[in-house]
Amino acid sequence: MPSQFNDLPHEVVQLIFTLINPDQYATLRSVNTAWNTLLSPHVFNSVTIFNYFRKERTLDSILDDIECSFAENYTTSGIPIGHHIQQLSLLYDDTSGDQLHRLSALCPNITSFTITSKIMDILISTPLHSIPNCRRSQGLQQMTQQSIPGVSDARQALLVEFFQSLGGSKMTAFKLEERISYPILANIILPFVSNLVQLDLSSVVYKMDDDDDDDDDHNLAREPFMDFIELMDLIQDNCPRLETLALVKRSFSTVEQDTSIATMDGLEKWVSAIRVWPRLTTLHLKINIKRQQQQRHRQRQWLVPTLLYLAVRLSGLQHLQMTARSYTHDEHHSIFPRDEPLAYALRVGFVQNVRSPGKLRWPYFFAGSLHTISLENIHLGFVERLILFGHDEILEGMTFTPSALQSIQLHDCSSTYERLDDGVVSPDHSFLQYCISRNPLASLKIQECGLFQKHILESLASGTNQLETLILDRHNAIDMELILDRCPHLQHLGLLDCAVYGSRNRTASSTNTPAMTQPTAISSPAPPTSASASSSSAASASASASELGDRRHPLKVLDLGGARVMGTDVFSLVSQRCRQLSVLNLEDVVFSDPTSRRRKISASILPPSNDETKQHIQGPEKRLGNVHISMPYTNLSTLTLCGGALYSGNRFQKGMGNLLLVKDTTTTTTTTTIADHELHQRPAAVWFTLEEIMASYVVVSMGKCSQKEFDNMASLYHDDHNDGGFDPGLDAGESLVQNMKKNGLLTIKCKDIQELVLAERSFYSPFANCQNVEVVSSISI
Amino acid sequence: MSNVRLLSSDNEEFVVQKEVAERSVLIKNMLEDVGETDSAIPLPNVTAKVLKKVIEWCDHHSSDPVTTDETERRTTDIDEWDQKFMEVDQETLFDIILAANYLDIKPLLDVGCKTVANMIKGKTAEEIRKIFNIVNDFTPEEEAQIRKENEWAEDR
Repeated sequence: MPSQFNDLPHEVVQLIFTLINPDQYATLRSVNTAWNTLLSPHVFNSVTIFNYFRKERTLDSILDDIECSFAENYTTSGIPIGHHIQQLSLLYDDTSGDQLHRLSALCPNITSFTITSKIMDILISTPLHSIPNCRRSQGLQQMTQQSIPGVSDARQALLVEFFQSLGGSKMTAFKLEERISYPILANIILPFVSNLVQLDLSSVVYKMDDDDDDDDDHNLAREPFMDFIELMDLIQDNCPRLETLALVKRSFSTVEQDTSIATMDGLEKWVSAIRVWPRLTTLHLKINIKRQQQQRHRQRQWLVPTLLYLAVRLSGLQHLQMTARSYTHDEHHSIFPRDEPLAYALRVGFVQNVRSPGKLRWPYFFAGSLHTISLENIHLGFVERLILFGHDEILEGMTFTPSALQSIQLHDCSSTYERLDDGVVSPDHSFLQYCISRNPLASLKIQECGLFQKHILESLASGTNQLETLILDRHNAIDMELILDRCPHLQHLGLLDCAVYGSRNRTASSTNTPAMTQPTAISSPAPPTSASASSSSAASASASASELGDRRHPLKVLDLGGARVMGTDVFSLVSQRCRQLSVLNLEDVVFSDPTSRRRKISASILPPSNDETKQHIQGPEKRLGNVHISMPYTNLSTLTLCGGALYSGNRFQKGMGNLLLVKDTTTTTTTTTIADHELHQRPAAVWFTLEEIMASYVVVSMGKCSQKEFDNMASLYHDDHNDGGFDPGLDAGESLVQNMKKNGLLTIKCKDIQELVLAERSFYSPFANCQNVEVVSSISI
Repeated sequence: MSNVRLLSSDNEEFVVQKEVAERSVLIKNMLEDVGETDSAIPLPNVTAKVLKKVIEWCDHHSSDPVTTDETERRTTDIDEWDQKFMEVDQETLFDIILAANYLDIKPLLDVGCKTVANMIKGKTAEEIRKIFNIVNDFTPEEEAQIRKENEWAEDR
């Protein structure tokens, strides 16, 4: 009997499933009972229940489904699906106590639970008679240590029972959303979740906050609040296994208060109450600030000493993530901590031995035992140096502190580094150079920081490093070859909104863009003989070209979101050297011609069928060009594109358009994912076979066709074409082709693409206008 | 280089180099247990047709480094030679997978599974049943139930 799929042993089938995107599991489980049995545990492992998404499904009907699976005649998988659910996010606001009880009974294996506290509120305010099993709970009343004002004992017991049954011994992660009162947290939740490893309270609004906005009418708002220190005690006592704790501090203050000290006292109290214990090694702190404009800066100044204080005092901490948010509209200033906050920090022990605050001598080191540090919207001031430097009194400069840091992630952190740099730190002592070359740093992500761009590139250029992940943004001259050379262990590279060059083409480009820095010029051993930085870098590039030409690089993921690609030789280079590259993101990429003085955008694709847009197309048509990307050695597992490249500098800025992708018959099956589900009915990418290309004059190509064939097809596009507008009578494929010809074209040639993701751009769906293109998983011509 | 003799289930004998045969962990362990031997190793679960294919694969990959990193082996794409190698009818494909599983040749098993996974990717349940000739053994009620469950289970 011939072998077939059913003959494969379970472990092999499981292996096959692990090679498939889990998003497809739900579809696959309906193939037959055997597949259902294998896949159901994965499909239901993590479940999120909303009420704003699929209105037609009520929570009751979902509970009915789960209950159905307990019935004896439910044969499809043998195990009730409720038993599979381990991670549950219940964001269904209208949940009743009754439903919660059903849920906790139906899903006994929950280890991770997220709940909105609106649900808690509803539970508390539900009339008792509507909760059927409150009588049963009476025995539990004794377990709560104190009664909570505003909550009757019976309801309290009900909640206790709920958390007891839900938490049990299995739940290891708990996240609470939105409002909560301390007594509820302290008396009803924490005592029953003793096995927690992760506790996330960072979305919670505590009633103890100076809550001056909206919730005064809420019946819990006037409760006597519990002290934060007490809460920390409770957490430590009740959750001995806790490893990760996320906390939030909301700081609201009114205009009348003397804000700098009053708020500081609040923050200081909060910060000093935070503690870690041997198991607890990860802290996520969110600091939300709501205040008047002129006061905001003062507040933010405190964050720097806070950070220092935490890092110095909490010596066991390994991972620190700190996020600050302002409610008022934000802006970035270079804020230098002034004497006042520094003096205060000294007084309360935030920082020590600051001899002369104005001069910023910092003899104490920052990093300590931290492995990872992740900061968002924190004014760094000089913190970036303190992360890695100490002050050496003798040398009057910064010295490096060996630290355990492996990962630095800075997001939206402005800096005064440039200013500090004057005469204080010599270039070869720059922060990142230490950080990159001497530290075993494996991951560096610096985004939205406006942070010492020059130094990052200099540091990268100065020698090889251990980085495996590097994410940068907004650099105006990234030399791809240099990055590959200097970061030989890099696996994930993100160059967001950067101008990216493949180094071989750079001579022409750099003369036209004098503002761009040439990092190689600084590091190049050859003395720059002329004013042209590019000549030395070009020389070093060409000198090393032969030896580098075949050098393999382990890069796997390349993210060029928003980047300006100066010449498609970047892709040839990457394809040549990075044979393991499998994920490429080209969202919002703009292609510029490096040889042109004016930045010519050589690829843009506009929506075709919208009348208004069509008018516009007539004009810029001539300016449209094609971009051909050739990656002959690359097998992509995922390619992400958005609808089209942007024009820059004219009114078509937001224009997006069609993409037409063609594969030849030799490549493997390709799936198309479109980010917005509404687009599922109208996917706009079409996969043609090679024969179809010939028949329909489509130009995009990938796969194994020869360069000549490729060029021939590409040249078809250049032919002047009768611009008859969009003809709905045409075959959909031809229509697309017409549009492509009118609007410009991006072609990508590589060995294979397994998955194409068409990303949805904000407020402008690239494919929303493709009214007449109803095609498309297959076109027969 | 010493040779090893392998005997397929239909009694065809194959003489292969030891290092080629040792791509199979099963054979490698057998050889270690048995030591030097002249008798052919019987492989009762593998037919000559499939064994020939498997040997062809092992021969081509005999000098590959042994990757112990499972995730790396799983995530790298099928190389061109393997793609060609796997362009066989479905029956042979499953035979190769079964043989690789039995003989414990993990890299070959991975290639086979990746090939099958690629056939599944992006397909509907009905398409998959058709491709692999799988019988839909759900009752209409069960199918309706699964559809209902998927309505909320899919939203991640």
